[in-house]
Amino acid sequence: MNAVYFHLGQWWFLVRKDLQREYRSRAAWPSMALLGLLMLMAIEMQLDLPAALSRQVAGGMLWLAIFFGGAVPIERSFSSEQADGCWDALRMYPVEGATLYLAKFAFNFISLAILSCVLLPMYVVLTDAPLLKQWPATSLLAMLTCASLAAAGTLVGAIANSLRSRGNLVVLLLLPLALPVLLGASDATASLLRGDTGDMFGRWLQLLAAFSLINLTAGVLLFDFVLER
Amino acid sequence: MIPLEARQLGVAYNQRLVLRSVDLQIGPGEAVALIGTNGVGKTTLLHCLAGLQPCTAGEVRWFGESSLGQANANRSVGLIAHQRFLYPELTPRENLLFAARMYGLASPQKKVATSLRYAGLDEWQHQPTATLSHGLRQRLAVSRGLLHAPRIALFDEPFSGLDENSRQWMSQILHELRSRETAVCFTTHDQNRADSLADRVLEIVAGRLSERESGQSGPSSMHAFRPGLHPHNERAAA
Repeated sequence: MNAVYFHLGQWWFLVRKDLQREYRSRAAWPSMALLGLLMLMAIEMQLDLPAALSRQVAGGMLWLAIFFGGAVPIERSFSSEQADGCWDALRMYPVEGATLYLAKFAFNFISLAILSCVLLPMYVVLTDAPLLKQWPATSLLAMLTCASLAAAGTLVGAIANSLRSRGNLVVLLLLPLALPVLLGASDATASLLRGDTGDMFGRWLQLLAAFSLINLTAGVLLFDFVLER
Repeated sequence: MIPLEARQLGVAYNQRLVLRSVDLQIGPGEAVALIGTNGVGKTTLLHCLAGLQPCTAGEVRWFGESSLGQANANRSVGLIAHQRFLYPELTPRENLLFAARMYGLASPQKKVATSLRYAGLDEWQHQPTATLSHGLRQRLAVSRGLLHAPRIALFDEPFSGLDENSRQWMSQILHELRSRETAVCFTTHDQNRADSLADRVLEIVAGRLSERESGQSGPSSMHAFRPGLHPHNERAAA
C-alpha cells in the first residue's frame, strides 16, 4: 500500500510541476489555442457547402483543429524537459516509467481539454451547430477523444524526444495513430448533429473508449522501453 | 562492498571509440579526480558511471548491482553535471522539493530548508531559478544532487565558473562527502586542485584511463577546510 501511495505522490508532483511550469512560462497553451483557432477559422471560411453537407464534414474540421493545436503541448511537454538536462534527472530519479507516462498523459489530457473548451464554443459560433444544446453528450465525446489523443500523443512525444531531429516529428508520427480516433470522433459528431444520440452515437463512444484504453495500456507497457532508448 | 566499479568499459560514438577498456574502482570515502583534455571522454565516463549513458562494452556496478538493479542504484548515485537538472521556471525551493518528493525523502520540507540554508540560498529561495547567477545555480545544482545523501557522488567540473568563496564551499562539500564514506569522483582541468582534493588522479588519454603520478601529498591539504554543518553530516556527527 505504501508503494502505491509513493507512486501516486510522485505522479501528482510530476503533474503539478508541469502545470506550474506551463502557468509561469505560458510557452505551449497560447500557441496551442492560437493554432487551433486559426485552423478552425481557415477551414470554416474555405467551406462553402449546403448546410446538410456542411454538417457531415464540420465535425472533422473541429477534431482536426484540436489535433493540430494539441500537438503543440504534447511536443512541448517533452522538449521542455531537455532544458538544463532535466530529462536525464527524471531518468535518474526512482520513478517508474508507467508513473512518468501517466503524469505526462495527465498534463497532455488537461491541455487538450482546455483546447476543446476554447474551440467548441468557437465552432458553435462559426457553424451554428447545435452542439451545446446536447452538452453532456458533447462533453463525453470531447473527453474520450482528448483521452485517446493524449494517450497516443504522450507515447509518440517520448519517441520523438528520443530522436535527434525531433522538430515537428510529433505530428507526423502521431497522425497514423490518431487517424482512427479522428474518424471516430468526426462520425460521432455527425451523429450528434443529426440529433442521433442513440445506438450509433453510443457505438462511436465505445470505439473511442476502446482506443483510449488500448493507447493507455500501450503507453504504460512501452514507456520504459522508450526511456531505455 | 565496492560502491562504484567499472569493468572493461567501452563507449563508441559513430564507430569512434571514446573510451576503451576502462577499469575503475572507487571505495567508500575515496575521492578520484578525472583529468584530461577537452573532448577526451571525461563527461562520457561520468555519465556511464551515473547510469545515464549506455556502454558499448563492459559494465558498471553500483554496490555490486549491475545496471539491472538500476532502480535501486539510482537512489545511491548523485550526479552534478554541466547541465544542472534544474527547472528554470521553478524557484530553488520548488526545485529541491520536487527532487525530494521524487526520491521519496522523509520530511522533505525540513530537508529542503536545511539544504537551502547550507547552500546560502535562503535569500533567493522564492525567486525563479532562471534569474539566479551562474554561481548560485551551481550551488543549487549541488544541493539538488546531494539532497538524497547519495553514497556515490559524481561531479562534472564542479569548480568551473565559480568565485573563490564558492570554490571553497565546493571543496568543503567534497571533504565532507569523503568524511561520511561517500565515494566521490570528479572531473577537472585544474591539476593542482585535483592533487589537493583527490586520493587518486586518473588521466584519460586516447580513451584509456591511467593513474597519474603526483608529486604532491594528495588529500592532506583538504584538512585546511573545516567541516561545517552540512545536513548530511548531521547524522554522522550524531
